[in-house]
Amino acid sequence: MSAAPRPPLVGTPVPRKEDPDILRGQARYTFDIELPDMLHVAVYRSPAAHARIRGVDLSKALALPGVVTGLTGAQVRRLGYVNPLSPFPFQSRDPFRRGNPTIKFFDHYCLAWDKVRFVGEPVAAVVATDRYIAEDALDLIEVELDPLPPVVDSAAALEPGSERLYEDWDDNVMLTFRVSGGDVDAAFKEADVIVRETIHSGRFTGTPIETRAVVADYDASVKTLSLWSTTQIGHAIGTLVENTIALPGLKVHVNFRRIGGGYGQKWAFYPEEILVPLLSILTNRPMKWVETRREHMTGTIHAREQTHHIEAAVRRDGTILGVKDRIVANIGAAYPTGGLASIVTTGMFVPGAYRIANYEGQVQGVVTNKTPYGAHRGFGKSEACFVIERMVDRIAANLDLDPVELRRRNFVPPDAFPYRSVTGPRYDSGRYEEALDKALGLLDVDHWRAAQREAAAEGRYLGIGTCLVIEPSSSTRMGSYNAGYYSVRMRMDPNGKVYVFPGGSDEGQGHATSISQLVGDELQVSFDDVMVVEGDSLACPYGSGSYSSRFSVVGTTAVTLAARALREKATQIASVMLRHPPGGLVFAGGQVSVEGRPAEAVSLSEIARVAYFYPFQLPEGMDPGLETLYHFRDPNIEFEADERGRVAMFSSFPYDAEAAVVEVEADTGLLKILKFVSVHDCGNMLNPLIVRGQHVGALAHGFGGALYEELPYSKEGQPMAATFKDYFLPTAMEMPEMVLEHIETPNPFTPGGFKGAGETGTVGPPAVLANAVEDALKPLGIAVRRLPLTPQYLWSLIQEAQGGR
Amino acid sequence: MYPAAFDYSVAESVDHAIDLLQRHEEGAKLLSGGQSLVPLMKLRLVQPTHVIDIGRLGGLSDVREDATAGVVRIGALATHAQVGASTVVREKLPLMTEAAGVIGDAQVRGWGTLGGALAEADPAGDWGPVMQALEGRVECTGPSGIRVVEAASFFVDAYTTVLADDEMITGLQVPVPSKGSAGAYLKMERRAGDFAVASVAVQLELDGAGNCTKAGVALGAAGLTPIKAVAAEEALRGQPVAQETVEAAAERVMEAANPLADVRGSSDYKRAVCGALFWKAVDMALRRHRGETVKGGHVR
Amino acid sequence: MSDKAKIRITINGVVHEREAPPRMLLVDYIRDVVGLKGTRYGCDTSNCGSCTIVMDGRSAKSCTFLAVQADGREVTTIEGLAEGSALNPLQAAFQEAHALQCGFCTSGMVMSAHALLAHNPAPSVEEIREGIIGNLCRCTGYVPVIEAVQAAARRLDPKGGTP
Repeated sequence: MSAAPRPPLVGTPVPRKEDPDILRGQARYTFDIELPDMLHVAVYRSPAAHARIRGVDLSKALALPGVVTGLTGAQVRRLGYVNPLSPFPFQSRDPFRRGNPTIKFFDHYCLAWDKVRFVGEPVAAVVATDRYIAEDALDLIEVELDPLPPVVDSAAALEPGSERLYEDWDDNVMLTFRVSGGDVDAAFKEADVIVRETIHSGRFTGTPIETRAVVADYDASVKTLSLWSTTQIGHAIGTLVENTIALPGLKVHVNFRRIGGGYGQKWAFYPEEILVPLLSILTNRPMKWVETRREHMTGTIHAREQTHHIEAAVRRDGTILGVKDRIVANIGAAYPTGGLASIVTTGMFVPGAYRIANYEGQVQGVVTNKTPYGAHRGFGKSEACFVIERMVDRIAANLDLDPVELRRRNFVPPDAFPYRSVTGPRYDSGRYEEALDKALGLLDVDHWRAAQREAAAEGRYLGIGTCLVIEPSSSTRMGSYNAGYYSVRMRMDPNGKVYVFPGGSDEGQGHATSISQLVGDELQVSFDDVMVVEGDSLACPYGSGSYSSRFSVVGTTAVTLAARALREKATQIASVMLRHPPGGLVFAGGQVSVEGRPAEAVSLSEIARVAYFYPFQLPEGMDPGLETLYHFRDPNIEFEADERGRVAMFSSFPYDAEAAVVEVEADTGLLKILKFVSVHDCGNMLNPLIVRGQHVGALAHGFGGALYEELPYSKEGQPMAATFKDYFLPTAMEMPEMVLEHIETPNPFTPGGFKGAGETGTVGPPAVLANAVEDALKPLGIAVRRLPLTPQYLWSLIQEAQGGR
Repeated sequence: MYPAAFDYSVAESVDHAIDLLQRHEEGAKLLSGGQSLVPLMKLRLVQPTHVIDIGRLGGLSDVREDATAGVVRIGALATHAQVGASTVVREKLPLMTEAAGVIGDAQVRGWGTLGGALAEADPAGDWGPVMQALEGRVECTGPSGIRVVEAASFFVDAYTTVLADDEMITGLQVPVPSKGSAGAYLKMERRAGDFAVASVAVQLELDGAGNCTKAGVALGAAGLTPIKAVAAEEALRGQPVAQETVEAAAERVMEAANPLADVRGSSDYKRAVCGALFWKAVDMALRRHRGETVKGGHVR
Repeated sequence: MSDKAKIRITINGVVHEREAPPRMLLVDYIRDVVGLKGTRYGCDTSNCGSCTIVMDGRSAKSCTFLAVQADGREVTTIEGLAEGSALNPLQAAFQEAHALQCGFCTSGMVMSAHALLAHNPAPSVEEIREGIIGNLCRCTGYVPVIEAVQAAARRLDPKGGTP
């Protein structure tokens, strides 16, 4: 028996243990759940953007054979025990102590009751014995609507005489937030040049291939509601359901074991998470609802739509002295999604990777008759980075400086970390200039500048763009469900297997694999002997969910420290068993042995059996069992903003330096990516295979939002992209050839040194491609001010510059 | 999303199918590969009371050259993949091979049929403009036999053709262009597998001096139906294919286009794309005429 | 109207003869009548390809067929690929290349790749991309999928694989 420690699992590209079940078709998602006597729910959704509900008549639908029951908003309110949807992500309707942010709410229920406020809003539900009949019944529902003027554009919504979505509000502004630092006025007085721009991020969203689904099974005999939901916030959903369905004695068990992709869209509290349980309670039968893609495109949150009115005060040498940004987000209807938190986040991170000492951000979340606004991978930071990275290039153009040089001049330098940003967050670590240099080296700038000159001689437009984006990860938020800690329960069972119960959930990130690597190393058990049970609200400790790349930061730390606690206890037990002081014991190879005397050893299973079955052998005062509950509180965050709105709301700061070469075809506006380079730093890499996968996947979202994906509305408030026929997800053909490199600057605040890995990729492509397009079209003097960079947009820019040739 | 309920029959023969069509009149729909019809039924944009499955009819998927008539005959049930892989088509009608490769995706191409796609008459369909540029003809079989309709007059409106309620497409006759002929089909897509933003089919016959003796030009996704750009064809015919000629023809192409605005672009933009694709297609056809190997099809 | 029809489909080598209404989609016959839940759908408009199976040797989106259209045909689903409990070379290549994350699209993606390699044992990168455009994935960014298909091609046919 060798007691030598085996090579570490952490840091190696271990293939995932989740994969074989999925690849054999054995994995079960919410969609796949079948329960005896289960009924099927279909939801009637508003066809109008804005209208008063005069009546909802289900009688014809209920008369259809196979239809069991139905429900309207008016009926829900009459039940007496159903509250308005609880205001996720906030704890209460009064979450902020200093009156900044300001926020308004509305009594939305799981079905619309007074007005409809966006196309896709749930209005009524029907329940049938199968889904085909349920859909037939939808066609028989009669809804009488009095049309109201639609409010679609956020600027129009802010005008004093605008139609209001919520009559008891005095305007259409749901949230305001101000954050500032330094002396902005002085900076603007001191400036040589002031650069002003209006920059717009387009509305798009994450569209997991698994649409949302809810299964509810209420057992009246024990007042227990078993709920399956495709959610990133399973524990919170349990609480929110309890808040909303006020039945005394109701027990709620939420299952969220296998989720088919989230990307933020499943980080929200959705009406169906009340509607489907309610229907199960009313009928005492299991109930299943699976969202159609058309429902998804309007009934599941959108993201990103923001307009920035930004001004920068700069010195002639390119030093950015100060920035002011007025941010208007078009947030759709006021449902309990994470949208408000994301726009506050934007206000915090406009300074990006730059040492900007004077800053003022003003944020307004404006309600409109569009789908509610929420989280999407890159959560508010993508919009902030797009704006500041665009601004850097605009400033460079104004000053006739090289944008790369301008970046260098303003970067937070490596010796300034941990760096307290002007808005409060403490940037953990970074080597921005080094990463950018590496990216430029990999791009081969000289070669492409020569190619650009050749192209120009032929009348073709070739351009080079750069960016350096940060993607603050692992967040906390004032007054929200998101409290900046992570809990893990861990048990070594009598056979020496380790069961891990994390407080989060997995939407495809490979938590079971990562946890097995961490625990395998800490407890010296085999990868296969680590059993991860995740996504069960009664088996696992409470957790705020899976979002903000927090597993990599606080999740891994909680796992590591929980394993160390178990290891400590196992060592103490071994010490008694081996009659040797703990200090002289070696914990390796699945056993504990006396240093230098490998024959004197006890296996982990032997130790565990003593812990469970021979408590009288345990050291004085030690509890039986080998199980621990560990909570890790993030040390690099704060909970309360100061008087100027400053707060450290994210704890780790991965970043990506990107460089790209594009060619724009003048007659069609088509954009071709000729080369793309990313140099990504997410701290130490727990599993390089997974990190690369996360980064490439995130880049695909970035390319999507930069070039293809858009959720436009007509002026009547009708969504123009309501299926995958009109919403252009990138396919394999749209992914460019990429050169990807990683550098590793550890996170100094956690034992593993990891940072979030899965979101940075979404942030860069819009910025780097817009910058490259502007460089390509420089001969025409064009400024790029919006996303996405569709062929038509680029074509129209060129047409305008050429005087509508 | 699921189709509304309907009755279903399997047609045993063309006559049987027509008999069923007659019995069920306008409520009936023919199902071949289903790659166009089933999606429309799922969205409940089409709600037939009766579906007649012709997908298993024998003898309707052959592709063969009829040298005497100077045409290639293609059965209505030939799939896009079959057309794409056909040696006869590649040798005689390379424009069709090019078009077959850009339709939908592998799954659609394997099951969707030429006849089904033409009968659906999606304004953004690929076969319409290709058939029009090649001056193909559609065999429409009804109770009184076969009538042959020029592709140029087959389409009436969006999703509407000259087919009567009791007629079905049984085949296509595509004239084989002369030896000195070359063409290109170009389809601009927002992303792979999507419908066209706009598409242009060009087939040019050139004499030894480089003069255009015959031109076929047609546009897809440029209006409610495929559009045969007759004025553009006339502008090219009898002329050397030089800058000014193509410029004049491109003007005619853009005049012929009357595209609908949607998420793929405004009407003006799509019209400009038609012009740009036409330029590229002519250039490509000329290069092919000179013996160059050029990749056509997708523009994205 | 819409009386049930008797539908006989051979799925993964097993003959299933069940009744279903004509409007039932093939994917629901596979999932709900036969009970093979590995085939899923995610778009309703024949775009995402999660429902891809192989029918009579051709890849097919099972959400775009009526079950009656498959009467008498042979279908292979994701459950029919593994060799006993072991993954087949394509499935193994997906795991090794990290070509799946959430897994929801994976069944369809693997079936498309399976059909591609059956017709073209040594596809180029361009051919692989073209072969999977009917399968949308939101997690992987496709690059690892392309690598997995290349690796599987090399493993299945060491002479024919692309570099």
